[in-house]
Amino acid sequence: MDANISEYVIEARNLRKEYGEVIAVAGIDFTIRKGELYGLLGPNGSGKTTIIRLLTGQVQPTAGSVRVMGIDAAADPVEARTGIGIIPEQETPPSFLTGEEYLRFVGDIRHVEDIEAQCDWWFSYLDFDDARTRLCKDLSRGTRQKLMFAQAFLHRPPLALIDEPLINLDPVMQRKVKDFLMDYVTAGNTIFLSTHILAIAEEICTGIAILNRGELLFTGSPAELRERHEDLEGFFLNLIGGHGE
Amino acid sequence: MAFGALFTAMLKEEWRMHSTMFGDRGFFLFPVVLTVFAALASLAVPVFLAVMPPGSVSAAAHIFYLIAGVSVGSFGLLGREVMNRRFGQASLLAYSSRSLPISERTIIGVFILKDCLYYFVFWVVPAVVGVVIGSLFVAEIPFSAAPILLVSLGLSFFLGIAGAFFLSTVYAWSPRALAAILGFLVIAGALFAVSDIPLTGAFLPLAFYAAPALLPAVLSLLLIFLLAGFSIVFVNIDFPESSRRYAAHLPALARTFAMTSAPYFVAKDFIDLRRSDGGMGKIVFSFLFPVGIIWLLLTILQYFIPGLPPGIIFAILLGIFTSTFYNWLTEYDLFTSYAFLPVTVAQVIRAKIESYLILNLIPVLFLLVAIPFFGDALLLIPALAAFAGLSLYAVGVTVYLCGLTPNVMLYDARTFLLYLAAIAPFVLVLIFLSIPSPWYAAAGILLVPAGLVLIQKGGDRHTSFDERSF
Ligand SMILES: Nc1ncnc2c1ncn2[C@@H]1O[C@H](COP(=O)(O)OP(=O)(O)OP(=O)(O)O)[C@@H](O)[C@H]1O
Ligand SMILES: [Mg+2]
Repeated sequence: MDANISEYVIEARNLRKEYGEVIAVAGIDFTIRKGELYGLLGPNGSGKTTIIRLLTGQVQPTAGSVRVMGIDAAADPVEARTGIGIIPEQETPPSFLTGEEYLRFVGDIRHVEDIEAQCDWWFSYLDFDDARTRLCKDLSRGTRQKLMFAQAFLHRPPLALIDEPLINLDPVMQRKVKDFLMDYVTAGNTIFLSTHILAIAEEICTGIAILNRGELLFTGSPAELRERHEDLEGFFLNLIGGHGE
Repeated sequence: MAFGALFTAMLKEEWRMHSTMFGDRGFFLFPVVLTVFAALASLAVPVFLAVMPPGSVSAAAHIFYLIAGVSVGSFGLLGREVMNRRFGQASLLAYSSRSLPISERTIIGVFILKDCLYYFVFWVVPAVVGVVIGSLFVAEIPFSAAPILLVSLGLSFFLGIAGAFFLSTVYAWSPRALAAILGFLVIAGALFAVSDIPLTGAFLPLAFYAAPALLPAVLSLLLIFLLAGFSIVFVNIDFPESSRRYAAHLPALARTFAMTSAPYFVAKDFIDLRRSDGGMGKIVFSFLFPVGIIWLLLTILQYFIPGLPPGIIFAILLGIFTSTFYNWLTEYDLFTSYAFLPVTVAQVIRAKIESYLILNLIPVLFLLVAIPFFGDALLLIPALAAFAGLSLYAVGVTVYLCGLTPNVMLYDARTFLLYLAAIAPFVLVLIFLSIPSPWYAAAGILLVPAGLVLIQKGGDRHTSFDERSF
């Protein structure tokens, strides 16, 4: 058992994923420590979603290995997904359940004891009580995203992986979600998120990685960049531009 | 004002939908095939007439068109959901009362009219053309039969369409009233079967064919207008709006299904069926059509192969058709909605199969009524055994080949052929076994373990595949 205990909650070694001809992730190494709020940045198609799907055992790597909370996500995907929370890129709560029923459904799968209290809390915290009794297929995109957000945290996972969490939310909600995420890691949990919104990464992340065409161009922290007197946007554009063709 | 424009637009839409689904070639091939088939059937009429009682060929043809009408009508209503997913909701004119100033009554009226005209041209006319060709070679078919058939088959067909709209309108207002009407029809049918009133005395379009006169034609039309008129006047305008609210029914329903491996999944399946267009009624509807076809086939087959035990054959074929319930169960979600949760494809499939087994109560009830009706009530034992074997085996083959997306079978010829190859031998063997003694069909129960193994293997097989996103 002891051999499994690692100081890292996420460890990727030589991680590679090909889809036919396309190399989505080109054999990368990275580790993330407990308590980090880690941001994965990169242009469209750079491989962010693929990395999250690899880390959560939703796709099998072509080569390399990945351990999440000490579990080999490729060998034991269900076990890996049990302990963590995930918000997938495309939010698709089942059409004919109501918002409340959906959370109850996920609560059942994840064995959430206090599911009723959790529901109450989330519907009021993200201010979408209206969605409780309406069918998911009839909800607005932002509302569905709130539902997917709540779904990922129902069981208070020590690690959550989030693909683009804020894109359809209004400014008030973005503030709430950012606060929630920062408090969540302060409490000793870990968050791994992918985003296009550099300002968000700069504001809340403790560590960042920049990805382009499946390769890691940079790993470090916003604080580090600040020390070098670089703002994230300029740095990002430079880095990606320098690698374009 | 909108009437004429809406009518042509709907005709075009139906056309576009079919040519998209089957491709232009398949689309024009269909009426040609129908003509050829009808011509060949006409050539065979002397053979039919030699072995079957007089009038049964024409009766079968008219009943076939009645059932075809019912299926066109119910597809127009219940299939809207399937179409929505493929073409997008806003694109369907049937929904245009939401966005255009046209009343739901106008739409449903035009819709019925469109169905009648469109399918009359593509389904009825080609068949009659085939009969005309046949009449050139077969003395038993007078040339004058063609215009009469055009009217009588058309009337049967329209009656089917109007009947489907009528029943669905009743259902929209009160499922109980629908149950009462269906119950009444079953009882009336049973009484009719034991009475010695000829079919021509009760089935107006057939009466017209048997003895062309004004009265049966007018009465048929009257009945059609009555049924269609009822659907138009009482159309349920209260279709589920996005503002509609639902209580959290899932947890309570899950407690009802506590005996299953995943009560919340099974409960979700039933909620999907109930809250989607057509409600639970669509299962019953989609089921009545194949059952009608089987019944028709059997009545004809009996004349050619006298040793066939009809109840057993009915049970065998029913098992195959029942396996399409699995398609309904997988219609409303994709695995991608579960992929980020700690569940596998195999677990989801297992829950769907448990829902499937619960839905099997419908055909089992059906058999309990139908088998004694065919004669020997004791034959329920081999009939249920054969039914259970085929229902599980056929769904097992489906799961093995297609996992959670059985509808690919409709588009992928290879998969479909594999499906047929896996099932047809067992169907034939069981049918042959049942000729010496219907009790031998009980061997069908041996297919139950085969089905279970296939389901198990299918779950593993589709779990180890990388999940493709659709
Ligand atoms: N299922 C798949 N089949 C084939 N190619 C895929 C598949 N999924 C992703 N890809 C390819 O892999 C590459 C990385 O895609 P990915 O979705 O991981 O990018 P991303 O960084 O999340 O992009 P975005 O910012 O647009 O969300 C792209 O070239 C994409 O086309
Ligand atoms: Mg992405």
